[in-house]
Amino acid sequence: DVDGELLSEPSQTFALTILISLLVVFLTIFILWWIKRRPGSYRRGECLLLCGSSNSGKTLLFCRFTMGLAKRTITSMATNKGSMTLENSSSDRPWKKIHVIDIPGNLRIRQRDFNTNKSSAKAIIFVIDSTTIKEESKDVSDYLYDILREKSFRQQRLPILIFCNKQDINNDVETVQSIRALLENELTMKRKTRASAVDVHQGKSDAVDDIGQLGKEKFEFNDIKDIQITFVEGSALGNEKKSFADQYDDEADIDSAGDETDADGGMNLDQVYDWITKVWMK
Amino acid sequence: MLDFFYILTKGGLVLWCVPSSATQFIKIVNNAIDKAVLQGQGSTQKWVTPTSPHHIHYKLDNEFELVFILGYQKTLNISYADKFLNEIQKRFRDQYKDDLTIGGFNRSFPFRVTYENVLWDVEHAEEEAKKVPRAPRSYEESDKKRKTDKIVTKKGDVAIDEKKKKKPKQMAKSNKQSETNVQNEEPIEEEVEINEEEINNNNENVTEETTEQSLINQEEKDSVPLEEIQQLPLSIPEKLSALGRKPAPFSKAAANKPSPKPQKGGSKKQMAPSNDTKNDTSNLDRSSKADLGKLNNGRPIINAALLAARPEQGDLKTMIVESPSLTSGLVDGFWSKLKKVNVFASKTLTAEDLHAGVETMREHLIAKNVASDVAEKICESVSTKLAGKTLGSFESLTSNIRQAMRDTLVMILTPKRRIDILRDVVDAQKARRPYSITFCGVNGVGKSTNLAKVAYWLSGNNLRVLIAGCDTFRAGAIEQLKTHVNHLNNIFNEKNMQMIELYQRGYGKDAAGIAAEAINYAKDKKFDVVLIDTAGRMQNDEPLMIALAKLIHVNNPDLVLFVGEALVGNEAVDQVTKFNQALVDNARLHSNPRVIDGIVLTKFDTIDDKVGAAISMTYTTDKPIVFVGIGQQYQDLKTLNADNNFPVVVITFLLFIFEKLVHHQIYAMSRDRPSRHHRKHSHSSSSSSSSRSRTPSPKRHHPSSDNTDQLLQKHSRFFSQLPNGPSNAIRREKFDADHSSYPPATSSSTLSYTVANVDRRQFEARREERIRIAELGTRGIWSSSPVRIDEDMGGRREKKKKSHKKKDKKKKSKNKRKRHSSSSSSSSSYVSDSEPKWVETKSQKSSSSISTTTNNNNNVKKQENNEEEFIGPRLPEHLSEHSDSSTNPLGVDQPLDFGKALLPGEGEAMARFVAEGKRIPRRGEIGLQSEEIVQFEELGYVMSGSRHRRMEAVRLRKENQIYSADEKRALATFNYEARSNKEKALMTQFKDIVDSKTKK
Repeated sequence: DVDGELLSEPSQTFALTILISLLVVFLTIFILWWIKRRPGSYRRGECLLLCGSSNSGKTLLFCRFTMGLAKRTITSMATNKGSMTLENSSSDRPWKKIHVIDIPGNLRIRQRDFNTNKSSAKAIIFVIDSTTIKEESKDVSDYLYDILREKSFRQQRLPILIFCNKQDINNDVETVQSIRALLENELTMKRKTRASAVDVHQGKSDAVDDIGQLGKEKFEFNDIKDIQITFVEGSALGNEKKSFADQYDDEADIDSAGDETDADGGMNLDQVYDWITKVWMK
Repeated sequence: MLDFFYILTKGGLVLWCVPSSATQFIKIVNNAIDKAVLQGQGSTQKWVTPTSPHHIHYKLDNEFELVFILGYQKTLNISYADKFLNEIQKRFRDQYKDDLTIGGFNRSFPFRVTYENVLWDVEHAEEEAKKVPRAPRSYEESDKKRKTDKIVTKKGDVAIDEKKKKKPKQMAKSNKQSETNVQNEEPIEEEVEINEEEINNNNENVTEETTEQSLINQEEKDSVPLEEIQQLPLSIPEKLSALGRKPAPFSKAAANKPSPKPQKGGSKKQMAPSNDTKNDTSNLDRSSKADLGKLNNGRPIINAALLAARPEQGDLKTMIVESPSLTSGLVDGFWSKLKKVNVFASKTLTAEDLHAGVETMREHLIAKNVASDVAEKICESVSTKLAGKTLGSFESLTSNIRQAMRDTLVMILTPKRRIDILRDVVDAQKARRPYSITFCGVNGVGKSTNLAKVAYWLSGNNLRVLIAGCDTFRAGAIEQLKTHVNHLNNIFNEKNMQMIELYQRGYGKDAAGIAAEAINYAKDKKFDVVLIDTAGRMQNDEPLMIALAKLIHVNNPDLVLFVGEALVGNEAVDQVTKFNQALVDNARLHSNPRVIDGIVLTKFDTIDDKVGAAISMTYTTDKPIVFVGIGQQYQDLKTLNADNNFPVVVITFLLFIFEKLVHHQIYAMSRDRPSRHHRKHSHSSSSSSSSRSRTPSPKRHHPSSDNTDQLLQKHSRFFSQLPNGPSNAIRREKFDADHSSYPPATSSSTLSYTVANVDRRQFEARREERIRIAELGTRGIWSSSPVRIDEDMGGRREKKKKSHKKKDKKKKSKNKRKRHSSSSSSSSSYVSDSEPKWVETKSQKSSSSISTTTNNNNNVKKQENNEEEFIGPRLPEHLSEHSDSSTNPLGVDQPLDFGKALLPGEGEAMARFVAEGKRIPRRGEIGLQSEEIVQFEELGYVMSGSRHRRMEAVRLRKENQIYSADEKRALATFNYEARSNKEKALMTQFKDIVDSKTKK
């Protein structure tokens, strides 16, 4: 009997060794996989997305948020990722870090970048160029329609801020109200022309896909219950125009990173900051 | 010297720029980025803007995600630009390395001093170089040396590169294939000699038959519509099972057997039932139905089944891809190839690392039918995008290249501007003007067909459509549109208003004028959309291109669509660029010339996985694919990007979509259609296909199988109204198509073919072509189709003659007229020797019978001319009325028939050619002198000589593409089987290798 015990013991430990080694192997694989996945996943559901058509001022807004200054920008070729700190003295936590993702507005790449980043959205700022909205209303509403139709956003009850940019350029630009009406018009049209085009093989039902109130002819932003939409006007450039020259004029070589937002008038980003605070600090 | 210089991040932040206040260049830079960097247009690192007076050079720094852009006036010739860019890049990186690595862009980058220094250095060096008197270059410096170096290194590469070693093997394989082809053809030639004797033997019999036959033809002439009733109801399960069985022997032959000869007998019998495919032939061919409508008290018949097929409202359906994670098509096959290329030398990618991989990718793209220079450019841009990038610890080169390539392709296919026709029509309605769309393209790509499909779609969205027939060139073009309009109006007849109308002013008029009139007419009559159909034209046909440019610039349509085949390869680039260029060149006074706004890609269902044309066209034009034509029916029009998830739909998956679509169709068929087992034919099936054989189109017209019953009812009504009903003229024979216990002996006797059934031969020829396509792939066959077909036809003819010997000579003509479909559909389940047989009825020389045939032929032709709605080019009258023997090279006193039937004696002539060991000649070559060919051409015939090879190729290609639904399904099954067999073979091979290795 004793012999038997002695014999069985090493076999048990052997089995245990195998088990443990297997465990270690799987654990390693998992950790490696996790490390690889990490850069994308740690922002899941926590980011502020900047969307909008090309040349509407997303990258500039991104600069303002993350660096606190205005940079000269041109067409983006890739997403910008950065983080901003939100200060709030009244809250028990005085500041909060928010990741900001700026999605290029170029038609060729925006869909791809939007799709890869949409899962990490907590809120969206949709930037509109108020000076050219009349000409670009079709394209803008197209983009907006796609965002509003996004299923995951609806389930998330995701807040969207429609930021009418470039209000500073001249006086006869569209006001928030007129832009809103314009977009509602366009989206009504969009709904009509796209309504029943859903393929049977896809197994989607019409009801989920449609935006706005079912059965109602006209689309209104108020009808969207599962996504909170706010309209805000302002200018990402604001009073920082003059800092351009400072930055790119090297003779002087001034580091003009000073925060000038305080000096901005009502036309600037205050409303946007308020909205972000509301979303993140609630 | 330099106008501007920008240093940017890829995110779009300007880190440093000169001049600092440069706002006027931002637009130019934006444009350059959009075109050159994002889309991969333009050659490496250089971009010449067509609109602005600047040359732009750019350089990507993939390690720090930076872009360096400089621009200068076009008139200046700055040769140091690239050198300067490299130098600046180096300096900038050195200077701000720390900031760049942590991504600290929120500081300013004082770079002016360095910039000036570098600029001065480079310019100075340039000056110095110019000052030095130019001595003759030594060999070392010359281009030649470089070139030879290149060649040598290239050769070295080849020797080293592992993947390239595969090539010879592939070559050997293709050689083998061609060998089998040769083997295929050899027996044919052997048979010929035997056949000649038989022909003589049979001549007497044949003579009798011909006279009778021609009489019958005459009778059948009167009963054209009857043909529609002759649909033999064939139960779907049976059909499907037949389909399932059919492919098996072929794919086996493809996979295992190099010599398919032994199987020929059996397999041919199984392929023979061509008539079951008829039930589903194209709904677009509605000519005779339209006739019917006219005859029936002038009121169009409302076709219930077609009413049901009204389109849904809203946008067209997008081509759907089930899962984005699925990789197939362009990128996937490449991956498996690339695995073998071992280029994991360094972590930071260099151009050399990329070279091998990108080269493989380029070959792969070309194999998928992407035009070669387009593939070249795409690969260039991919390697620019990747060069200098640092690989992460878990990334591989292959996946990087694959990803970059996919991104580039997506970018190319993603439109810069969305075309939403329905939305734009609303705008046009508000402005109280019609929305006009012009269709243009080369001959035979399907302009009119797809125009009809678009009209169908628009009418389905409650828009009134006016079709302007501006093809005033091709015979029958207007009639074709008329037929479409008639039919579409039958579909959309609920409203009192006519939804679709045709505006035409006959032939030979100025197209631009007609289009303008049509638009005005539409304005008056409140049409929503005007579709302008233009004549097909070759891109190098200068006068016609000028005419097109005039049409477009005069009328300024809202949308100019270029219709292109998906089949086209390198030609695609030439076509679209020349069309675009012609529009720009001939703009005359218009400062802002119109170009092509979008592309309609047709015949997408015929290309298997060779989807490259889509890439070639979108790349060269930078315009979106608006519609994709995927079949013969009005519903077969899709969009690539209507849905919100359009980036998923990429070239990468197009192959997948195609298969999916076909499978969907099969499933939908088997689900939707009830079994029609129980249905009996109320009408007899007397053959009238002879009348068909004379119409120029090889398409056979049949109503869709769904509505056979309704049609039958209608026809019975129709015939009772006719004063000279077909009941007198035609002897009917009732029989049941589903008679399962049909005796084989009788079926074999009913299988006699006559010359009248000539186009069935073509049908079979095409079917065999299909099989070969399934086995060998399309490319080789399309490219040589004009010759091949002729050879095939010749060969088959000879074969048939041989089989003729077996035939029962005492056959009654009655039997002959039995519908082939019935016997063949039932015989498809038999395993007997009831092989279809052919009779060469016309190859006789007895003069008496000839005279009767002549009369009959003339009668027939006169009748055709009398027919009101005769569509297609007519025979010149003097030829059809009296044809003298001088025009006939064979000296036989009979009119020349330019249809598909062989001329009397032509078969013999061919046989003689073959017996002498010459190649099988083309039709029209035999006995005709070159002057005679010219004569015929002057009369308006298109001869199949070398001068018209191009048009002939177009025509043949067109004919070959008429797939019926069944053929399509069969083809899909073939493909599937062939592929799985190939896979299996590979697997066994692999296993064998593994086994042999392990044993060692």
